[in-house]
Amino acid sequence: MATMNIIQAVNSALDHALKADPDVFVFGEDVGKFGGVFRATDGLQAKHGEDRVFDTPLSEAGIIGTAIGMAIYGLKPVPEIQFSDFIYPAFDQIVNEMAKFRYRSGGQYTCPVTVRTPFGGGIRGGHYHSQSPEAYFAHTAGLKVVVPSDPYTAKGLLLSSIDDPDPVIFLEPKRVYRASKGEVPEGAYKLPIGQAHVDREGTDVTILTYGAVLHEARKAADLLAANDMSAEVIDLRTLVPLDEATILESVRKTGRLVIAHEAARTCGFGAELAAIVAEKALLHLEAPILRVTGYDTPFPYTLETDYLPDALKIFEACETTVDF
Amino acid sequence: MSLSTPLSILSPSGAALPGADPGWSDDRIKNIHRAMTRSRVLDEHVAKLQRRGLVGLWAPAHGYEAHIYGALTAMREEDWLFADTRMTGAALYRGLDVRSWLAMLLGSGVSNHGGRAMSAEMTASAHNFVTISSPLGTQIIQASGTAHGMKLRQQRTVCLSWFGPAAAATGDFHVGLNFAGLYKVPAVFYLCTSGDPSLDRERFAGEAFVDKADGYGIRGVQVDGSDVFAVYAAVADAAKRARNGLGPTLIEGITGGVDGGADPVERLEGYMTDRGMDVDAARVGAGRKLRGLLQTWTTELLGEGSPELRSLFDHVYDAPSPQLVEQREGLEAHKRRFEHETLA
Repeated sequence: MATMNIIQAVNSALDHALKADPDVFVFGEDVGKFGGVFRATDGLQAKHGEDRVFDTPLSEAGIIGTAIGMAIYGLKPVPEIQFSDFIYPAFDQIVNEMAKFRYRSGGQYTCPVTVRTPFGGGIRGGHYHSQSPEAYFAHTAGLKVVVPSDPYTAKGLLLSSIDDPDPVIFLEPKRVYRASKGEVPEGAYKLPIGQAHVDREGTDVTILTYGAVLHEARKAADLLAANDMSAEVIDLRTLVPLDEATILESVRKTGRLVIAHEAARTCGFGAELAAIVAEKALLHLEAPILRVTGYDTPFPYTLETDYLPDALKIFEACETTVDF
Repeated sequence: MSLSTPLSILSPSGAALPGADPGWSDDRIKNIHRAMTRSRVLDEHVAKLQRRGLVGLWAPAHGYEAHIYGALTAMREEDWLFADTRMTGAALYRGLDVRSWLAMLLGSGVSNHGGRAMSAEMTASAHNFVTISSPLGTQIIQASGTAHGMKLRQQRTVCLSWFGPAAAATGDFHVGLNFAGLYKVPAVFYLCTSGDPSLDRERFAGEAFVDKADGYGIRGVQVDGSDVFAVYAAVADAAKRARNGLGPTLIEGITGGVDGGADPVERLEGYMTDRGMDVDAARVGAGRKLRGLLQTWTTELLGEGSPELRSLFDHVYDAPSPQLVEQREGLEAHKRRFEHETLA
């Protein structure tokens, strides 16, 4: 075991993957020589060579198109999109090509691509370094969407994603890249994709979340406990395919649900979660389902802290459901 | 850097230009003629099916036969093909059987994609024929990516990507050629230009599309695109260079510009006549068997009926998600319940 932050955990996962499987290739802007703008790929090119870990032009469509070409050829590309805000030039290749290759070819060609990309705000990055675009990809059949919350989940989920035969969009919560530290096995290990995790057990309200907001949810749960309310906190870890069973089991127990994510409110992934729970656990609900989210504005620069869902907002929403 | 005259081997009427005889045997010439004639038979058959409402969107290969088959014969079986919707005939040429081709055309449940893709969006991975995709140009960067993989694996194989002038305006064309040049991948990019200057002027302000190659630091070659021998020569040369690590080439195949719309099949037949070959016999022989197969298999496939309902949900992922299973079961239950109902 070693104490790692998320960056070190990602680096470790990539190192293991590159060592274990000669078909794995890591590439993107500044990932090779420079080691990544967040240092996630630091040292990998020196260790594994320029063929395995390489730099690309500033061209997201090229990065993803190259990954697709390599994947259908039988390789396992792990491209990086430097900030998820810049993924859109690759959107056609991701949605129209990568997500549909298996379906449209009857499985003759597949795209075992893992697209790594930092997402979320809190680094004073404004509109173009803070976005949470997961809903666009969760809405696209054929893609898997995985979101770690800490070093342990980052390494285990990334190794699983790289091994997954389907294309995975792997969103890394950059706000807590360094702030989140924890014990991580030094060797390779995998965490299952499609399985949510009960981070903390409770009885009065379920808080569903993912990514950096898990850390706010934990603080909210502490605050609730200090006010005689018991929250169960669930870290989704995978958005698609979603672990409905864990979610429904929790809501049937608590009867109340608060969903928290940074992404904007309208058609955010929370809307999907709310619809599922309303459909399948209606009679267990004691209160309406509430969502604590970013606002329907572009991500702001100066008032970033007001935009972001935090422990107090989550606390307030939980209290509202308990008092309903 | 466009050439003053694109590479030609045949004169407009088909006689070989002085000193430019391709030097093919009669058999080899008959083979290419057969391939090009069969392409027309395919187009005729599809036109019939369209009139019956059995095929939707379709881009005929008429006029592109030299581009397609001249290029194909210059590639090896282990080379990968990244085509656009005009070029499904190339899969047949590579060895895909007629029934499978038709099954995909008709969206049949017995096709290799279970009717999930539209008529021209064919796949034949056993013949290294990558799935054709409707969004134009997407295959260009993918071809570059696969070629990059081939280079990493030190294979002596090449990727050939065909596309038309509209695709040459897409971002994926730019990105594909840029990456291909940068990584010096073993790829041949074949751009079929329409040869209709007024149409091309709507797409590109430059002198010639081939000049774009300079912009990416790659080799550019213009060829007479309705001269099958010239196309073969240009592609064979480009493929050889790619195979030997000399990097990618952009070939601009011009149809019509050189001679105001020369028919590639007629030009080849002009050459065959000049050479004393029996063109009529060749024509008849080429199409007869194929017509028969198309007719027989079409009838048989139409008799198969619709794809199985559950196939709608197949191959989204390696294994279906719980959500997909639930949705499939929901639709199946709905169909069972309303089996005999129709909204009047």
